[in-house]
Amino acid sequence: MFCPSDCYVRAPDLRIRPVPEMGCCLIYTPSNPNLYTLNATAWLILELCDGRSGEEIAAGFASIVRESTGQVGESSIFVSGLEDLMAKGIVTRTQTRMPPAGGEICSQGDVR
Amino acid sequence: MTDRNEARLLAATRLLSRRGLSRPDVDDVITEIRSDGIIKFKDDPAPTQPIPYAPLGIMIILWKYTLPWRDANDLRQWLGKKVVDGAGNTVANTVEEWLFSVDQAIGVKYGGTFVSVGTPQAEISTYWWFRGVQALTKLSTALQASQSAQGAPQQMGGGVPNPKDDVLEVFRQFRHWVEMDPNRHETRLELLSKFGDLSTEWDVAPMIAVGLRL
Repeated sequence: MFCPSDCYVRAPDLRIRPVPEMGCCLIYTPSNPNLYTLNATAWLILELCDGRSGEEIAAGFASIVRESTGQVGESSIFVSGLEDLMAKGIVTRTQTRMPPAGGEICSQGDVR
Repeated sequence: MTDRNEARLLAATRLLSRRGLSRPDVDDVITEIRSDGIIKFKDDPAPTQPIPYAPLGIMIILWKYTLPWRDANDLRQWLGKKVVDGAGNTVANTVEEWLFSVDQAIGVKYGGTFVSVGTPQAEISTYWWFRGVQALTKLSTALQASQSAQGAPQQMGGGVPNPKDDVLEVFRQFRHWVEMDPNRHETRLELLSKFGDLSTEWDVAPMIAVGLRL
């Protein structure tokens, strides 16, 4: 369950492969081998999870959504996305602020 | 925040700006990892409607498998079975006729099963057309989910697909024959004109291809 005071960070061993040409971002989770496609909204939430508190991330999400689309980034949208990312091991919760994590699939043979 | 993270955040923001806000979607996909290419589309490869000049679709999944002629004959007979509904009414004269008539909302279309002529064994090719990556992803995910839910597969040549069933049951039954060949393979073909410039950066990253997992 989302808690505004907890901090959220991308899983440390994540592989991130943006594919904006296809309108998505591919995520590989090596610790529990699975590949996911994230739409733009889920991808943005993921990128904002850099160790800040849930409250700060939610505010950042709302701000970006407002500036880039003119729409309202409702809290329920943010929370459902964050919880889905957490359920799939893409984002983890931490009680203390952590440095950003994550990497990209950038060379052949990285992921098999 | 590192430059790489900032670049990704910017890319995500730009994509959101183009697509607009929608419900966050995190889809689990069946994957086949290759190291000999990249995804390099110039257009959105997931049209929801057939595009006029490519009414069948922009992507083909091709199953290639070799069977002894006796087994190929079983497959032939299965394809020739009558399709009836729950009340016993004839829906199609043959399974293959029914397959050709199915154009699921998810955007998949049966393209036929073909066999070699004059070879020691039956070299068979089955074609599935897709409107785009999205259609293939949906079908792959649905297949995975339905197989998990169903447990053990049905016996080869079991029931004839009921029209109330979706195309998943047909896939499951079909694969019993395909899986008889340990050297079977699946090829994913995509409309060449849908790609971007193939002359550069063709080897910069592994290709992550969604398939039907033969």
